[in-house]
Amino acid sequence: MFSILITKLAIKIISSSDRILGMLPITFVCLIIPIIVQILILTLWALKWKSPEKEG
Amino acid sequence: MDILAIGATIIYFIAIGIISYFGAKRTKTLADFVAASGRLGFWTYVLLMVGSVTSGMTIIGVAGTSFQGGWANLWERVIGPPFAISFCTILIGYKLWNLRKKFQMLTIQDYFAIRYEDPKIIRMIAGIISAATCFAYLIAQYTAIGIVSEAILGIPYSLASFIALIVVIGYVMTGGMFSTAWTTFLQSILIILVIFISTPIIISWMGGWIILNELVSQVPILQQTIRGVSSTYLFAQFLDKPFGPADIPLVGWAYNLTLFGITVPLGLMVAPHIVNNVLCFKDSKYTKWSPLLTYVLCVPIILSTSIIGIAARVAWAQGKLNISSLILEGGVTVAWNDMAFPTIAKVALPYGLLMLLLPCVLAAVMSTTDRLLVTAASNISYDVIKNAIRSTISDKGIKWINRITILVIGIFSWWLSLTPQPMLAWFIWAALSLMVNCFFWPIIGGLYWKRMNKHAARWCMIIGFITTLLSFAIWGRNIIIPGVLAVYAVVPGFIASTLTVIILSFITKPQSEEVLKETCTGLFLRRK
Repeated sequence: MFSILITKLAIKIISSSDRILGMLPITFVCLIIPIIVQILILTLWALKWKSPEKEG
Repeated sequence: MDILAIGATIIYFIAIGIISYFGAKRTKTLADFVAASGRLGFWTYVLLMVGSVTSGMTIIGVAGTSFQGGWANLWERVIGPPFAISFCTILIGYKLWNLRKKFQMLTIQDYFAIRYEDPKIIRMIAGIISAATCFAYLIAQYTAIGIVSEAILGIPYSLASFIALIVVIGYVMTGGMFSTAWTTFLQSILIILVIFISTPIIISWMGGWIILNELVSQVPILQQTIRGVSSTYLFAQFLDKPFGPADIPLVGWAYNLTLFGITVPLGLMVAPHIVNNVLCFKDSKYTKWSPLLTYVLCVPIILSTSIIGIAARVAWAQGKLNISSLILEGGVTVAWNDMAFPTIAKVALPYGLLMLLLPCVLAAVMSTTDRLLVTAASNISYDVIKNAIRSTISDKGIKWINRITILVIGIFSWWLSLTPQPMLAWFIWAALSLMVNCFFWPIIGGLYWKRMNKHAARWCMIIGFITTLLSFAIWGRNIIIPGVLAVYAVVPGFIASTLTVIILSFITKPQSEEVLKETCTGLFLRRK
């Protein structure tokens, strides 16, 4: 679900002909999407974190 | 020479001296020296990770790379070092937590010895290769110091890097890991402050974010009309794009993939000076939020220095500043890209902030250099000599071996740095190539793949090391098939080490079930 949303957003931005914050749309997407994805993964990791010490 | 800059640098050195004194007092045992006896607190660990990865390369090298490649190398900033330190904590630190406690591990070589039931040979191979890779990494750090001192203060390149060498050797020899971690704490704060304040000022000096980015697209025309160089000089046509065509070195997508998709993130994740940090923190709870924190601290730092490099390129094309030249062996004169940050800082930053740049670069360099020296010294004294050659050696003997190793490696790497390259990044990337090709599979395969065994790990390191060196000797940095593909020279070594691991793991016996169970080996992070 999340990956579909991200992909749709990326396609929408890339297909735009206007610059975003002065950058080419494809450059903006390549800069911003990997950062968002990694932050989300790391946040999920923290929220779902379980202590490794339960292991024997 | 400027009094204020010298004053700021002296204050910085005094602060480092005081911290080191307390680090030395705290260091009583070998475990203290090598891994702070696993007693580092949360913020010390977070900033140690950020500081270890934020080196002279980040401050000077990333700006230099961005001066040359612009946004076409953005992958280094969004994936490279930030990814490496965050996922090192998750994939390696988290999983090693129980083993650390159970087996009293101090270095990653301890893990190899237990996981591969090979207390001597693998430890020796890994220790020697680790020390060699640390050595290559060190050369670039002294280059960074020399560049900034020369550009800002006019202190000769060799003298400035020599002073930094003396200071860092002094505190590492006395305080080991405690001094390293505590000084890195201070150094990371300084780096974060200076970079986060400098970047908006430099962007504003260029006319703001939007104008800067629009000007990036104008660089081919600007450099042709104002500088009188070709519109394609230094990849100008790719500066505003996220990558270039596959056959272009440095900025092409294939090159980006092999350099910033394999070499930097995977190499740094298993780099000896990074991976050994995950054996130093006090509480397993730190693995919860520290990956996110290290990522959100590291991305803005590296992104900021990259934007400063891009701004310097635009300013250079506009004729607003001049970048020094560097004469290479053979008399070839090239633009000294690494001068990008100090040069733009000199014209765009207010005086007081500019004077803080030298301590900031010193901090960046020393926070990595000290960790590299501790790692290299531990590899030789603890892994090679104490555990593989002479187990009866006294703690006093080990201490002396540590000191001699630090001295020899420190001075020799400084001496090699006296012949700088146009981009110090090439040194770092070469060292990371060795790291990924020697250590990635023995560590990651060891943790997550039950078939991985000692033969695969030993030969992976040896073949990875030799193939990588041969690749650089044969092809240099770039492997190019004209008109088709350009990739970074890490590729043959990565293929060779991967194939070695796969083939040997399948044709030789895995380690005993008991060891695999004891070392929690398998495709999971935490056994349910």
